[in-house]
Amino acid sequence: MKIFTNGGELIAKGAIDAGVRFFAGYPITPASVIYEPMMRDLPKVEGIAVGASDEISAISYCIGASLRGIKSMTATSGPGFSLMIESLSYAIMSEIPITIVLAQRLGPATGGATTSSQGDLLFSAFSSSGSYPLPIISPSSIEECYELIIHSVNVSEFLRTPVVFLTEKEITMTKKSIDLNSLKKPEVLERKYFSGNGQFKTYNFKDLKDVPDFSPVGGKFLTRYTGSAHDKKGELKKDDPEVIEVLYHLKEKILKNIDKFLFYEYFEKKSDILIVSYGVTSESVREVAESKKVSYLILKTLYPLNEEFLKSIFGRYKKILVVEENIMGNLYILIRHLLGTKGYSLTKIGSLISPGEIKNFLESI
Amino acid sequence: MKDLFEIIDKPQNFPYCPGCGHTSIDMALARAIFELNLEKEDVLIVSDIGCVGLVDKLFNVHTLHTLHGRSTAVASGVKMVDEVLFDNKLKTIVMIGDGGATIGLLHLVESAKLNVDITVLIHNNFLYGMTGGQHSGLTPKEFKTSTTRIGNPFEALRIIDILKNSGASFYARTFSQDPDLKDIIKEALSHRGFSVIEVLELCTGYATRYNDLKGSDLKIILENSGGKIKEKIERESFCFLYKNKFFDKKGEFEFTEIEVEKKIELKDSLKIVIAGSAGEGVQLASSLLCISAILGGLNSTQKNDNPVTVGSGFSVSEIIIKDGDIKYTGIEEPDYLIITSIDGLKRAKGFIERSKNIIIDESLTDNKNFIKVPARKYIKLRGGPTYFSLGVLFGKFNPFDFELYEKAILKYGKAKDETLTCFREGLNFGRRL
Repeated sequence: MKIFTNGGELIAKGAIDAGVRFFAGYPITPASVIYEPMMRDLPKVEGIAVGASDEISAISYCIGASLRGIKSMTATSGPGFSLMIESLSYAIMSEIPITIVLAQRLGPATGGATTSSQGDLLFSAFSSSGSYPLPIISPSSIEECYELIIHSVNVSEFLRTPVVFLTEKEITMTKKSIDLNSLKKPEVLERKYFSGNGQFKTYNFKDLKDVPDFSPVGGKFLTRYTGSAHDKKGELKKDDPEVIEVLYHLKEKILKNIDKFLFYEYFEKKSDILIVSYGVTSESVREVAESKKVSYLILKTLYPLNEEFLKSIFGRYKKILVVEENIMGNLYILIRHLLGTKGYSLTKIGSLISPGEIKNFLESI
Repeated sequence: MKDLFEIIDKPQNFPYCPGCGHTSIDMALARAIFELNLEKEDVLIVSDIGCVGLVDKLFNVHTLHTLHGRSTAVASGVKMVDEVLFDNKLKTIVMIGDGGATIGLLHLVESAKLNVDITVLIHNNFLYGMTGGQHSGLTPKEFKTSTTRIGNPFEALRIIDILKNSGASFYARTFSQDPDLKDIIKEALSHRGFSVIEVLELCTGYATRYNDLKGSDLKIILENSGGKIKEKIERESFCFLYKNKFFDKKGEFEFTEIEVEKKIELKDSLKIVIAGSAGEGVQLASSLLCISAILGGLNSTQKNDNPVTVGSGFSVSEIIIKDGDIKYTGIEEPDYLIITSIDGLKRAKGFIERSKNIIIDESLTDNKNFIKVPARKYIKLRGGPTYFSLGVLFGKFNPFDFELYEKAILKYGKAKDETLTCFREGLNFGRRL
C-alpha cells in the first residue's frame, strides 16, 4: 500500500505509535499539519488532543499531562517556540518528559510563515536559562519523520527530559508518495516507574547520570515536583550541596546517556571531501553523492553532539563542508572547533539549497 | 485520616510573616481536606510563584510547584488526563497570588471556559509581597504600595467578574479571616467543574506598612469592592464532552491510501510546476497529478508555496514524478510550466526562462513560443483552469497514461463530473495542437 502524505502526518502517526496520548496545540504554519491530524486521529485511540489558547498553555497542558503519567507532545514553529521556552526550562528542571516538534520557518520573529528554513538549531539547543543540555533530534527526509519521532518520544521518556524534534516546513508540508511498509518502527520505550522498593523521592539518583524513577502526581507515592532549585526529595532549597548535585545531574543524565540515541547516516566514498548536513538539506547532499565523489555525514541527533565520534570521522578527510539553510551556519558554529582549517560553511536562506548549488560550491574549494 | 496534622505541618512552622493571611488560607484548606476525608494520595496542590509558592512543604499531599502564572494551565493538563483517562479522583487545588492570577489570566479564563475540574484559590493581598510590595493588577484604587506611594490611581481588576463571565461554574469571594472560608473551600472541592475563590488578605510585610490598616479593615475593603460572593452553576465540562463525544469513533489513522493500479514505464523524471491563484484549487489538482503517478506505480512529490493567506495571491505547486526514489524536492528547470492566472505568472517569472514547455492562459501573454490555452474559461469550477491545462498537457505531450489522472479524479477528487469534463476538454484541445 502506498500513501500520499507529508511529514506532518507522519509525525502525528509516529507519535501515536510511540504511545503519545496527549497533544496540545496552537495553530502555526508549518506545524498546523501536525496539530490537525492529532485532533482528528488521537481520539480514535482514546487519546486527548486539545486546542490551547496560546503556546504557553499548550506546553503547560503537556507538562501537566505528562506528570499524570501520559506521553505528551506539542508542535510549533519559531514564534510559538519562543513563547514556550520558559516552560521548556521548567520541564528540564523538573525532569518531565515531553516532546516538542519545532517546524522551522524563515525568521526572526514572525519571519516568513510559508518559507522553509533551518535557523533554529542554536536557538533551541541553548534555549534553557542556565544553559542545561536539551536533546535535539532531526529527521533528514519526509519518511524518516515516522521513525525519528518515535525515537524522540523514547528519548524524552527514557531520560525524563523535554526533547526538541527539529524539522522544517519543506519536511512537514511537502507531500510525497511513500510505501507504508517501508516505514521503520523502532522499539517503543517507556519511562521507568518507581517499583515501590525503598523510599520514593521524586528526584532520586545514585550516580549523577542516573535517571530518577518516575511516579505520577495522583499515584500511590506522594510526589513533590518543582521547577525551583531542589534536593532529591523535591523540596525547595538553596544552601544545600545536594541542590547543586541535582543540577550537575541534569547535565550528566543527558551527556552520559545520549549516545544510546546517537542517530546519523554516514556514507563513505573514497574521497578527500566530507559533506555534513542535517534536516531537509540532507536530501540535496544525498543527490550530490550520487554523481560526485564525496562522502557525507547526516546528523540526526543534533544536540548534544558526540565530539569523539565526530573527530574520528573528520580525521579521514581533507575538506569538510557543512551545508545548512540559515544565515549564521548553526551547525558549523557548533562543530567548527573540530574542523580547524578543513572546515567550509555553505549557507543560504529563502529557498532550499539545491544539489547544483552544493556542486558549484565544491568546485570553488 | 486520623489527624489534621497528617496532612499539614503545624502552624508554628509556617514560613509566612506573622499575621499573614496565607496561614489562615492554608489552615482552612487543610481542614477542608480533612473534613472531606480525602486520601492524601488523591490530593494535588499546584502552587504558583511568590510567598504562596512556599505552601508545598507544608502539605503532606502531592505537590507541584510551577512557573509564575502557569499553575492553572499545568493543573488543567493534569486534570484533563485524570478526568478523561483515569478515574477522576485527584482533587487538584491551585494556590496562586495576585501576580500569578494576572500573569496567567488567560489560563484562568480558558480553564473556566473549559470548566476543568480544578479549584483555584486566589490569594489576593493587593500587591506583590515577595518582591518588595509593588502594586499589582489587583491593587485597589488609592491603595499605597512601594510603587504607588501616593496611592494607586487605577481601579483593581475585578477578577471574579472576569472568571464568572468566562464560565466558571463555582465562584466565590471572601477574606482570609472569614470563619466560613473552610466551608466555602469544602464546597468548591466537592464541586465538579472549575471553581475559584478569591480570598482577600493583608500582607503584613507591606500593606500595613504603607497604609493605615489593621486586620479588621479587610472586611470593609471586601464590602467596598463588591462584597462577599458565592455562586454555583451546573454546567458540562470539556472533559465530560470529550470523553462522551470523541471516543465513540474508533479507527485507523487517516492516510490518503493508494492502491497501485498498474506499473507504467517512465524513463526520465518529470518536473512540472503549476502556478495559479490561491483559492483556485491549484493544490488539489496538483495532488491528483501526484496520485495519478502513484496509481501508475511511480513516485511523486508535491512542494507547495503560497503567501500566508490561502485565498489570495499566488499558489504554486512543484511536482516531481519519477520511477525511483525522489530526494531533493525542488525544481530548477521544469519540463512543463502551467500558468493559470496573473498571480501565477508573477510568481513563476523565475521559471519561465528555464522551462522546456509552457502552457499558459491565453489572456496572459502574446509570446508565440508559449502554448496558449483558454484555461480561465473554466474558472467557474474550483481548479477548472488547472484541470483544463493538465488536460492540454496530457493531450499534447502524453507524459504517461491520461486515464490514470481520470481515475485519480474519480477516486480522490471533488465535483468529479465537472472536473472530468474540464480535464477532457483540455485533453481534446491538447490533442488538436
